[in-house]
Amino acid sequence: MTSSVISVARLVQVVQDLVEDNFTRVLVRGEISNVSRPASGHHYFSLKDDRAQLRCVQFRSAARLLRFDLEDGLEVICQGTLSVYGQRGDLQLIVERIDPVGQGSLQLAFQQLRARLEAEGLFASERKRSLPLFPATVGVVTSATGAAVQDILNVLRRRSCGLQVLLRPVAVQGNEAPQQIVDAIADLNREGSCDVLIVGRGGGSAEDLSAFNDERVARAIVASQRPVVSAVGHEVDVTIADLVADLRAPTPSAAAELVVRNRQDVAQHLDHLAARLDQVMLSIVDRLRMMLDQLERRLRSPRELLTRRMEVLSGTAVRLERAIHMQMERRNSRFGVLTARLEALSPLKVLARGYAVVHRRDDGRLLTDASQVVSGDRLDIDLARGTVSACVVDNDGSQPS
Amino acid sequence: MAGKKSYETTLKRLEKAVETLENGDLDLEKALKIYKGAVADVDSCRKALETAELEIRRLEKTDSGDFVKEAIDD
Repeated sequence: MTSSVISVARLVQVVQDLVEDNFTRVLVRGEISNVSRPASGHHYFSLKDDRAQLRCVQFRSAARLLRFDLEDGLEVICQGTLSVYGQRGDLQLIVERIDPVGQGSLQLAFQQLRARLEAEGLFASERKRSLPLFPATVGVVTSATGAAVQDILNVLRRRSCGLQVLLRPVAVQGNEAPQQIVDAIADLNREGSCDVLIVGRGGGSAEDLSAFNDERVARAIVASQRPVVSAVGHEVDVTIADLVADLRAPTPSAAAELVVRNRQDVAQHLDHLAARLDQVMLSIVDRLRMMLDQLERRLRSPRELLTRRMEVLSGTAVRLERAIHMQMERRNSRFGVLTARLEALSPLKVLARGYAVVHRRDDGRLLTDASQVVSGDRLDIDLARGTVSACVVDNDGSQPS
Repeated sequence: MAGKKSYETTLKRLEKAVETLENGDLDLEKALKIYKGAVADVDSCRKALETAELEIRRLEKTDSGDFVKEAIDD
Protein backbone atom coordinates (compact mmCIF):
# COMPACT_ATOMS: atom_id res chain seq x y z
CA MET A 1 0.00 0.00 0.00
CA THR A 2 1.50 3.21 -1.08
CA SER A 3 1.28 5.70 1.64
CA SER A 4 0.59 9.17 0.47
CA VAL A 5 0.05 11.99 2.87
CA ILE A 6 -3.35 13.63 2.83
CA SER A 7 -4.86 16.46 4.82
CA VAL A 8 -7.15 15.99 7.88
CA ALA A 9 -9.95 17.57 5.98
CA ARG A 10 -9.50 15.19 3.13
CA LEU A 11 -9.41 12.14 5.42
CA VAL A 12 -12.47 13.24 7.35
CA GLN A 13 -14.21 13.95 4.07
CA VAL A 14 -13.42 10.44 2.85
CA VAL A 15 -14.71 8.90 6.08
CA GLN A 16 -17.77 11.12 5.97
CA ASP A 17 -18.60 10.04 2.43
CA LEU A 18 -18.04 6.43 3.38
CA VAL A 19 -20.26 6.68 6.44
CA GLU A 20 -23.00 8.75 4.91
CA ASP A 21 -23.23 6.57 1.79
CA ASN A 22 -23.46 3.33 3.73
CA PHE A 23 -25.53 4.21 6.81
CA THR A 24 -28.43 6.20 5.41
CA ARG A 25 -31.05 4.61 7.56
CA VAL A 26 -30.02 2.99 10.79
CA LEU A 27 -32.07 1.84 13.71
CA VAL A 28 -30.06 1.79 16.89
CA ARG A 29 -31.07 0.94 20.38
CA GLY A 30 -29.51 2.40 23.49
CA GLU A 31 -29.89 4.46 26.62
CA ILE A 32 -30.10 8.22 26.45
CA SER A 33 -27.56 10.26 28.39
CA ASN A 34 -26.18 13.80 28.50
CA VAL A 35 -29.33 15.35 27.10
CA SER A 36 -29.00 18.97 26.11
CA ARG A 37 -31.83 21.09 24.79
CA PRO A 38 -30.55 24.54 23.93
CA ALA A 39 -32.76 27.40 22.83
CA SER A 40 -32.06 26.60 19.20
CA GLY A 41 -34.62 23.80 19.49
CA HIS A 42 -32.17 21.08 18.51
CA HIS A 43 -31.69 18.10 20.84
CA TYR A 44 -28.23 16.85 21.64
CA PHE A 45 -27.63 13.63 23.53
CA SER A 46 -25.59 10.45 23.63
CA LEU A 47 -26.88 6.98 23.05
CA LYS A 48 -24.97 4.38 25.00
CA ASP A 49 -24.84 0.79 26.12
CA ASP A 50 -22.35 -1.15 28.32
CA ARG A 51 -19.48 -0.83 25.96
CA ALA A 52 -19.91 2.13 23.64
CA GLN A 53 -21.61 5.43 23.08
CA LEU A 54 -22.68 7.46 20.10
CA ARG A 55 -23.29 11.18 19.83
CA CYS A 56 -26.72 12.06 18.52
CA VAL A 57 -28.41 15.20 17.30
CA GLN A 58 -32.07 15.74 16.58
CA PHE A 59 -32.63 18.90 14.63
CA ARG A 60 -35.44 21.25 15.48
CA SER A 61 -37.77 20.13 12.70
CA ALA A 62 -37.68 16.56 13.98
CA ALA A 63 -37.44 17.55 17.64
CA ARG A 64 -40.70 19.45 17.37
CA LEU A 65 -42.56 16.27 16.53
CA LEU A 66 -41.27 14.44 19.57
CA ARG A 67 -44.20 13.75 21.92
CA PHE A 68 -42.24 12.98 25.05
CA ASP A 69 -39.34 14.56 26.85
CA LEU A 70 -35.85 13.21 26.37
CA GLU A 71 -34.56 12.10 29.72
CA ASP A 72 -31.29 10.53 30.78
CA GLY A 73 -31.65 6.81 31.30
CA LEU A 74 -34.51 6.41 28.84
CA GLU A 75 -34.20 3.24 26.72
CA VAL A 76 -35.00 4.15 23.11
CA ILE A 77 -34.69 3.09 19.51
CA CYS A 78 -33.38 5.92 17.33
CA GLN A 79 -33.87 6.05 13.61
CA GLY A 80 -31.65 8.27 11.53
CA THR A 81 -28.61 8.63 9.37
CA LEU A 82 -25.01 8.38 10.46
CA SER A 83 -22.85 11.34 9.78
CA VAL A 84 -19.46 12.72 10.59
CA TYR A 85 -19.23 16.18 12.03
CA GLY A 86 -16.21 17.38 10.09
CA GLN A 87 -15.01 20.23 12.31
CA ARG A 88 -14.57 17.86 15.23
CA GLY A 89 -14.22 14.59 13.36
CA ASP A 90 -17.03 13.26 15.48
CA LEU A 91 -19.24 10.45 14.40
CA GLN A 92 -22.87 11.34 15.06
CA LEU A 93 -26.31 10.05 14.43
CA ILE A 94 -28.73 12.52 12.96
CA VAL A 95 -31.93 11.35 14.57
CA GLU A 96 -35.21 11.47 12.67
CA ARG A 97 -37.34 9.60 15.08
CA ILE A 98 -37.13 8.29 18.61
CA ASP A 99 -39.31 5.54 20.01
CA PRO A 100 -39.28 4.51 23.62
CA VAL A 101 -38.62 0.83 24.19
CA GLY A 102 -41.49 -1.14 25.72
CA GLN A 103 -44.16 1.54 25.37
CA GLY A 104 -45.60 4.04 22.92
CA SER A 105 -44.35 7.56 22.87
CA LEU A 106 -47.82 8.88 23.69
CA GLN A 107 -47.91 6.71 26.74
CA LEU A 108 -44.46 7.85 27.77
CA ALA A 109 -45.33 11.48 27.14
CA PHE A 110 -48.43 10.99 29.28
CA GLN A 111 -46.43 9.51 32.10
CA GLN A 112 -43.82 12.23 31.96
CA LEU A 113 -46.34 15.04 31.95
CA ARG A 114 -48.34 13.35 34.65
CA ALA A 115 -45.26 13.02 36.86
CA ARG A 116 -44.27 16.62 36.28
CA LEU A 117 -47.69 18.12 36.98
CA GLU A 118 -48.15 15.87 39.95
CA ALA A 119 -44.84 17.10 41.36
CA GLU A 120 -46.19 20.64 40.95
CA GLY A 121 -49.17 19.64 43.06
CA LEU A 122 -51.71 20.27 40.31
CA PHE A 123 -53.60 17.04 41.01
CA ALA A 124 -53.87 17.71 44.73
CA SER A 125 -57.40 17.39 46.02
CA GLU A 126 -56.96 20.58 48.08
CA ARG A 127 -56.63 22.45 44.81
CA LYS A 128 -59.93 21.14 43.50
CA ARG A 129 -62.90 23.43 43.82
CA SER A 130 -66.40 22.21 44.45
CA LEU A 131 -69.02 22.80 41.81
CA PRO A 132 -71.44 25.67 42.40
CA LEU A 133 -74.66 24.66 44.12
CA PHE A 134 -76.77 26.52 41.69
CA PRO A 135 -75.11 27.05 38.31
CA ALA A 136 -77.08 29.45 36.13
CA THR A 137 -74.79 29.28 33.13
CA VAL A 138 -72.68 26.34 32.05
CA GLY A 139 -69.86 26.81 29.60
CA VAL A 140 -69.24 23.90 27.25
CA VAL A 141 -65.97 23.46 25.38
CA THR A 142 -66.22 20.67 22.85
CA SER A 143 -66.77 19.95 19.20
CA ALA A 144 -69.94 21.45 17.76
CA THR A 145 -70.49 18.37 15.64
CA GLY A 146 -69.53 15.54 17.97
CA ALA A 147 -71.80 13.30 20.01
CA ALA A 148 -70.51 14.83 23.22
CA VAL A 149 -72.33 18.14 22.83
CA GLN A 150 -75.60 16.36 22.05
CA ASP A 151 -75.16 14.07 25.05
CA ILE A 152 -74.54 17.04 27.31
CA LEU A 153 -77.48 19.05 25.97
CA ASN A 154 -79.80 16.04 26.15
CA VAL A 155 -79.08 15.55 29.81
CA LEU A 156 -79.47 19.24 30.59
CA ARG A 157 -82.69 19.41 28.59
CA ARG A 158 -84.11 16.34 30.31
CA ARG A 159 -83.42 17.91 33.68
CA SER A 160 -85.09 21.05 32.33
CA CYS A 161 -83.78 23.16 35.11
CA GLY A 162 -83.59 26.54 33.42
CA LEU A 163 -79.91 26.48 32.70
CA GLN A 164 -78.15 28.65 30.19
CA VAL A 165 -75.56 26.89 28.13
CA LEU A 166 -72.76 28.87 26.56
CA LEU A 167 -71.21 26.66 23.91
CA ARG A 168 -67.75 27.36 22.61
CA PRO A 169 -67.12 24.97 19.71
CA VAL A 170 -63.54 23.78 19.23
CA ALA A 171 -61.62 21.16 17.31
CA VAL A 172 -61.07 18.33 19.77
CA GLN A 173 -58.45 16.51 17.75
CA GLY A 174 -55.67 17.44 15.38
CA ASN A 175 -52.85 19.91 15.71
CA GLU A 176 -55.14 22.88 16.22
CA ALA A 177 -57.12 21.27 19.00
CA PRO A 178 -54.96 22.05 22.06
CA GLN A 179 -54.66 25.76 21.30
CA GLN A 180 -58.36 26.07 20.49
CA ILE A 181 -59.29 24.40 23.74
CA VAL A 182 -56.91 26.68 25.63
CA ASP A 183 -58.41 29.77 23.97
CA ALA A 184 -61.96 28.59 24.60
CA ILE A 185 -61.33 28.11 28.31
CA ALA A 186 -59.68 31.51 28.53
CA ASP A 187 -62.48 33.21 26.56
CA LEU A 188 -65.25 31.68 28.65
CA ASN A 189 -63.45 32.86 31.76
CA ARG A 190 -63.02 36.32 30.37
CA GLU A 191 -66.62 36.53 29.20
CA GLY A 192 -67.50 35.79 32.79
CA SER A 193 -71.10 34.58 32.82
CA CYS A 194 -70.33 30.88 33.29
CA ASP A 195 -70.46 29.36 36.75
CA VAL A 196 -68.83 26.13 35.69
CA LEU A 197 -67.19 24.74 32.54
CA ILE A 198 -67.47 21.35 30.93
CA VAL A 199 -64.44 20.54 28.78
CA GLY A 200 -64.36 17.34 26.82
CA ARG A 201 -65.16 15.15 23.88
CA GLY A 202 -66.58 11.74 23.09
CA GLY A 203 -64.61 8.53 22.88
CA GLY A 204 -61.79 7.89 20.44
CA SER A 205 -58.37 6.37 20.08
CA ALA A 206 -55.51 7.39 22.33
CA GLU A 207 -54.29 9.60 19.49
CA ASP A 208 -57.76 11.18 19.20
CA LEU A 209 -57.76 12.06 22.88
CA SER A 210 -54.22 13.43 22.86
CA ALA A 211 -55.27 17.09 22.92
CA PHE A 212 -56.56 16.43 26.43
CA ASN A 213 -53.12 15.17 27.39
CA ASP A 214 -51.54 18.37 26.18
CA GLU A 215 -49.74 20.40 28.78
CA ARG A 216 -51.17 23.67 27.49
CA VAL A 217 -54.70 22.36 27.95
CA ALA A 218 -53.84 21.11 31.42
CA ARG A 219 -52.48 24.50 32.41
CA ALA A 220 -55.48 26.32 30.93
CA ILE A 221 -57.75 24.16 33.08
CA VAL A 222 -55.62 24.89 36.13
CA ALA A 223 -55.72 28.61 35.35
CA SER A 224 -59.50 28.68 34.91
CA GLN A 225 -61.26 30.92 37.41
CA ARG A 226 -64.38 28.79 37.11
CA PRO A 227 -64.45 25.18 38.20
CA VAL A 228 -63.88 22.79 35.31
CA VAL A 229 -65.53 19.42 34.86
CA SER A 230 -63.57 17.25 32.46
CA ALA A 231 -65.41 14.79 30.28
CA VAL A 232 -63.11 12.98 27.93
CA GLY A 233 -63.94 9.79 26.07
CA HIS A 234 -65.20 6.81 27.97
CA GLU A 235 -64.93 5.79 31.55
CA VAL A 236 -61.63 3.94 31.03
CA ASP A 237 -59.89 6.92 29.45
CA VAL A 238 -58.06 9.03 31.99
CA THR A 239 -56.36 12.08 30.55
CA ILE A 240 -54.19 14.79 32.05
CA ALA A 241 -57.18 17.11 31.67
CA ASP A 242 -59.13 14.72 33.91
CA LEU A 243 -56.40 14.81 36.51
CA VAL A 244 -56.19 18.59 36.75
CA ALA A 245 -59.92 19.27 36.39
CA ASP A 246 -61.87 20.15 39.54
CA LEU A 247 -64.09 17.18 38.85
CA ARG A 248 -63.64 14.32 36.43
CA ALA A 249 -66.73 12.99 34.73
CA PRO A 250 -66.39 9.57 33.12
CA THR A 251 -68.35 10.72 30.05
CA PRO A 252 -69.85 13.95 28.67
CA SER A 253 -73.37 12.87 29.76
CA ALA A 254 -72.05 12.21 33.23
CA ALA A 255 -70.48 15.67 33.26
CA ALA A 256 -73.87 17.22 32.58
CA GLU A 257 -75.42 15.08 35.32
CA LEU A 258 -72.74 16.19 37.76
CA VAL A 259 -73.30 19.83 36.94
CA VAL A 260 -77.05 19.65 37.58
CA ARG A 261 -76.81 17.15 40.41
CA ASN A 262 -76.16 19.96 42.82
CA ARG A 263 -79.35 21.63 41.69
CA GLN A 264 -81.26 18.47 42.46
CA ASP A 265 -79.46 18.15 45.76
CA VAL A 266 -80.45 21.73 46.45
CA ALA A 267 -84.10 20.96 45.68
CA GLN A 268 -84.00 18.05 48.10
CA HIS A 269 -82.11 20.06 50.65
CA LEU A 270 -84.75 22.76 50.33
CA ASP A 271 -87.59 20.29 50.92
CA HIS A 272 -85.74 19.02 53.94
CA LEU A 273 -85.22 22.53 55.28
CA ALA A 274 -88.88 23.38 54.75
CA ALA A 275 -89.93 20.25 56.67
CA ARG A 276 -87.53 21.03 59.50
CA LEU A 277 -88.81 24.58 59.58
CA ASP A 278 -92.44 23.51 60.00
CA GLN A 279 -91.52 20.92 62.56
CA VAL A 280 -89.48 23.26 64.68
CA MET A 281 -92.17 25.94 64.53
CA LEU A 282 -94.81 23.43 65.62
CA SER A 283 -92.67 22.34 68.52
CA ILE A 284 -92.06 25.94 69.54
CA VAL A 285 -95.80 26.63 69.46
CA ASP A 286 -96.47 23.41 71.39
CA ARG A 287 -93.94 24.30 74.01
CA LEU A 288 -95.35 27.79 74.40
CA ARG A 289 -98.89 26.42 74.55
CA MET A 290 -97.86 24.04 77.31
CA MET A 291 -96.26 26.89 79.23
CA LEU A 292 -99.40 28.91 78.74
CA ASP A 293 -101.58 26.07 80.01
CA GLN A 294 -99.41 25.76 83.06
CA LEU A 295 -99.58 29.47 83.72
CA GLU A 296 -103.31 29.48 83.19
CA ARG A 297 -103.70 26.72 85.73
CA ARG A 298 -101.73 28.76 88.21
CA LEU A 299 -103.59 31.95 87.45
CA ARG A 300 -106.64 32.67 89.76
CA SER A 301 -109.11 34.59 87.76
CA PRO A 302 -111.04 37.41 89.50
CA ARG A 303 -114.20 35.41 88.95
CA GLU A 304 -112.75 32.49 90.83
CA LEU A 305 -111.74 34.82 93.62
CA LEU A 306 -115.24 36.25 93.66
CA THR A 307 -116.79 32.81 93.71
CA ARG A 308 -114.56 31.83 96.56
CA ARG A 309 -115.43 34.98 98.49
CA MET A 310 -119.09 34.36 97.84
CA GLU A 311 -118.73 30.84 99.08
CA VAL A 312 -117.07 32.12 102.22
CA LEU A 313 -119.77 34.75 102.55
CA SER A 314 -122.66 32.37 102.12
CA GLY A 315 -121.01 29.99 104.55
CA THR A 316 -120.80 32.82 107.01
CA ALA A 317 -124.41 33.73 106.39
CA VAL A 318 -125.51 30.19 107.10
CA ARG A 319 -123.48 30.14 110.26
CA LEU A 320 -124.93 33.49 111.22
CA GLU A 321 -128.43 32.32 110.63
CA ARG A 322 -127.76 29.17 112.56
CA ALA A 323 -126.22 31.20 115.36
CA ILE A 324 -129.16 33.54 115.48
CA HIS A 325 -131.49 30.61 115.40
CA MET A 326 -129.65 29.06 118.30
CA GLN A 327 -129.68 32.32 120.16
CA MET A 328 -133.39 32.59 119.60
CA GLU A 329 -133.88 29.06 120.80
CA ARG A 330 -131.84 29.78 123.83
CA ARG A 331 -133.72 33.03 124.48
CA ASN A 332 -137.00 31.28 123.92
CA SER A 333 -136.25 28.63 126.43
CA ARG A 334 -135.06 31.24 128.95
CA PHE A 335 -138.27 33.18 128.29
CA GLY A 336 -140.25 30.05 129.15
CA VAL A 337 -138.39 29.72 132.41
CA LEU A 338 -138.88 33.38 133.22
CA THR A 339 -142.53 33.22 132.28
CA ALA A 340 -142.90 30.23 134.53
CA ARG A 341 -141.16 32.08 137.30
CA LEU A 342 -143.21 35.16 136.62
CA GLU A 343 -146.32 33.12 136.66
CA ALA A 344 -145.33 31.63 139.92
CA LEU A 345 -145.19 35.12 141.33
CA SER A 346 -148.68 36.07 140.12
CA PRO A 347 -151.16 36.84 142.99
CA LEU A 348 -153.60 34.61 141.31
CA LYS A 349 -151.14 31.77 141.73
CA VAL A 350 -150.82 32.69 145.42
CA LEU A 351 -154.54 32.57 145.74
CA ALA A 352 -154.49 29.23 143.98
CA ARG A 353 -152.21 27.93 146.68
CA GLY A 354 -154.91 28.85 149.22
CA TYR A 355 -154.09 32.41 150.16
CA ALA A 356 -156.85 35.03 150.07
CA VAL A 357 -157.05 38.79 149.64
CA VAL A 358 -159.23 40.58 152.12
CA HIS A 359 -160.86 44.03 151.52
CA ARG A 360 -163.00 46.12 153.83
CA ARG A 361 -166.35 46.37 152.26
CA ASP A 362 -166.90 50.01 153.03
CA ASP A 363 -163.89 51.44 151.31
CA GLY A 364 -162.47 48.43 149.52
CA ARG A 365 -159.19 48.89 151.43
CA LEU A 366 -156.85 45.94 151.28
CA LEU A 367 -156.28 44.60 154.74
CA THR A 368 -152.79 43.74 155.86
CA ASP A 369 -153.09 44.46 159.57
CA ALA A 370 -155.74 43.22 162.00
CA SER A 371 -155.96 46.65 163.51
CA GLN A 372 -157.47 47.94 160.33
CA VAL A 373 -160.83 46.44 161.21
CA VAL A 374 -163.18 46.42 164.16
CA SER A 375 -165.84 43.97 165.04
CA GLY A 376 -168.74 44.27 162.90
CA ASP A 377 -166.81 45.41 159.78
CA ARG A 378 -167.93 43.68 156.71
CA LEU A 379 -165.21 42.13 154.64
CA ASP A 380 -164.90 40.77 151.12
CA ILE A 381 -162.51 37.84 150.80
CA ASP A 382 -161.21 37.17 147.32
CA LEU A 383 -160.33 33.51 146.78
CA ALA A 384 -158.70 31.92 143.77
CA ARG A 385 -162.17 31.43 142.45
CA GLY A 386 -164.90 33.71 143.60
CA THR A 387 -165.40 36.15 146.52
CA VAL A 388 -166.89 35.44 149.94
CA SER A 389 -168.48 38.08 152.18
CA ALA A 390 -167.70 37.89 155.89
CA CYS A 391 -168.18 39.84 159.04
CA VAL A 392 -165.55 40.59 161.74
CA VAL A 393 -166.75 38.91 164.85
CA ASP A 394 -164.02 39.73 167.23
CA ASN A 395 -160.84 41.69 166.98
CA ASP A 396 -158.51 41.35 169.92
CA GLY A 397 -155.59 43.20 168.71
CA SER A 398 -157.50 45.89 166.84
CA GLN A 399 -156.84 49.53 167.36
CA PRO A 400 -159.35 52.09 166.31
CA SER A 401 -158.29 53.85 163.08
CA MET B 1 -75.49 36.28 37.90
CA ALA B 2 -77.34 38.29 40.49
CA GLY B 3 -80.14 35.69 40.75
CA LYS B 4 -77.75 32.93 41.61
CA LYS B 5 -75.85 34.98 44.10
CA SER B 6 -78.99 36.04 45.88
CA TYR B 7 -80.20 32.45 45.71
CA GLU B 8 -77.16 31.15 47.51
CA THR B 9 -77.39 33.96 50.05
CA THR B 10 -81.05 33.14 50.57
CA LEU B 11 -80.30 29.45 51.02
CA LYS B 12 -77.59 30.25 53.58
CA ARG B 13 -79.98 32.54 55.44
CA LEU B 14 -82.65 29.85 55.38
CA GLU B 15 -80.27 27.26 56.81
CA LYS B 16 -79.28 29.66 59.56
CA ALA B 17 -82.91 30.45 60.38
CA VAL B 18 -83.78 26.76 60.75
CA GLU B 19 -80.77 26.23 62.99
CA THR B 20 -81.60 29.27 65.10
CA LEU B 21 -85.14 28.02 65.56
CA GLU B 22 -83.92 24.52 66.38
CA ASN B 23 -81.28 25.60 68.85
CA GLY B 24 -82.59 28.83 70.29
CA ASP B 25 -84.89 29.32 73.19
CA LEU B 26 -86.83 32.08 71.53
CA ASP B 27 -89.93 33.93 72.54
CA LEU B 28 -92.88 33.43 70.27
CA GLU B 29 -92.77 36.80 68.64
CA LYS B 30 -89.14 36.43 67.65
CA ALA B 31 -89.63 32.81 66.53
CA LEU B 32 -92.61 33.77 64.40
CA LYS B 33 -90.66 36.59 62.81
CA ILE B 34 -87.82 34.23 61.88
CA TYR B 35 -90.28 31.60 60.71
CA LYS B 36 -92.09 34.06 58.49
CA GLY B 37 -88.85 35.16 56.88
CA ALA B 38 -87.74 31.55 56.42
CA VAL B 39 -91.00 30.53 54.74
CA ALA B 40 -90.58 33.40 52.31
CA ASP B 41 -87.02 32.21 51.64
CA VAL B 42 -88.23 28.67 50.93
CA ASP B 43 -90.72 30.06 48.43
CA SER B 44 -88.20 32.22 46.63
CA CYS B 45 -85.69 29.35 46.46
CA ARG B 46 -88.37 27.02 45.06
CA LYS B 47 -89.31 29.58 42.46
CA ALA B 48 -85.69 30.00 41.44
CA LEU B 49 -85.43 26.23 40.97
CA GLU B 50 -88.51 26.00 38.81
CA THR B 51 -87.54 28.58 36.25
CA ALA B 52 -87.60 28.35 32.53
CA GLU B 53 -86.23 26.07 29.90
CA LEU B 54 -82.73 25.33 28.77
CA GLU B 55 -81.27 28.15 26.75
CA ILE B 56 -78.33 27.45 24.47
CA ARG B 57 -76.07 30.11 23.03
CA ARG B 58 -72.80 30.03 21.21
CA LEU B 59 -69.91 32.18 22.33
CA GLU B 60 -68.23 33.89 19.40
CA LYS B 61 -65.47 36.42 19.40
CA THR B 62 -65.49 39.33 16.98
CA ASP B 63 -62.38 40.62 15.27
CA SER B 64 -62.18 43.42 17.81
CA GLY B 65 -62.07 40.82 20.56
CA ASP B 66 -65.61 41.43 21.89
CA PHE B 67 -67.78 38.50 22.79
CA VAL B 68 -71.03 37.77 21.02
CA LYS B 69 -73.51 35.28 22.38
CA GLU B 70 -75.49 33.91 19.53
CA ALA B 71 -78.65 31.98 20.28
CA ILE B 72 -78.84 28.54 18.68
CA ASP B 73 -81.64 26.05 18.62
CA ASP B 74 -79.39 23.15 19.35
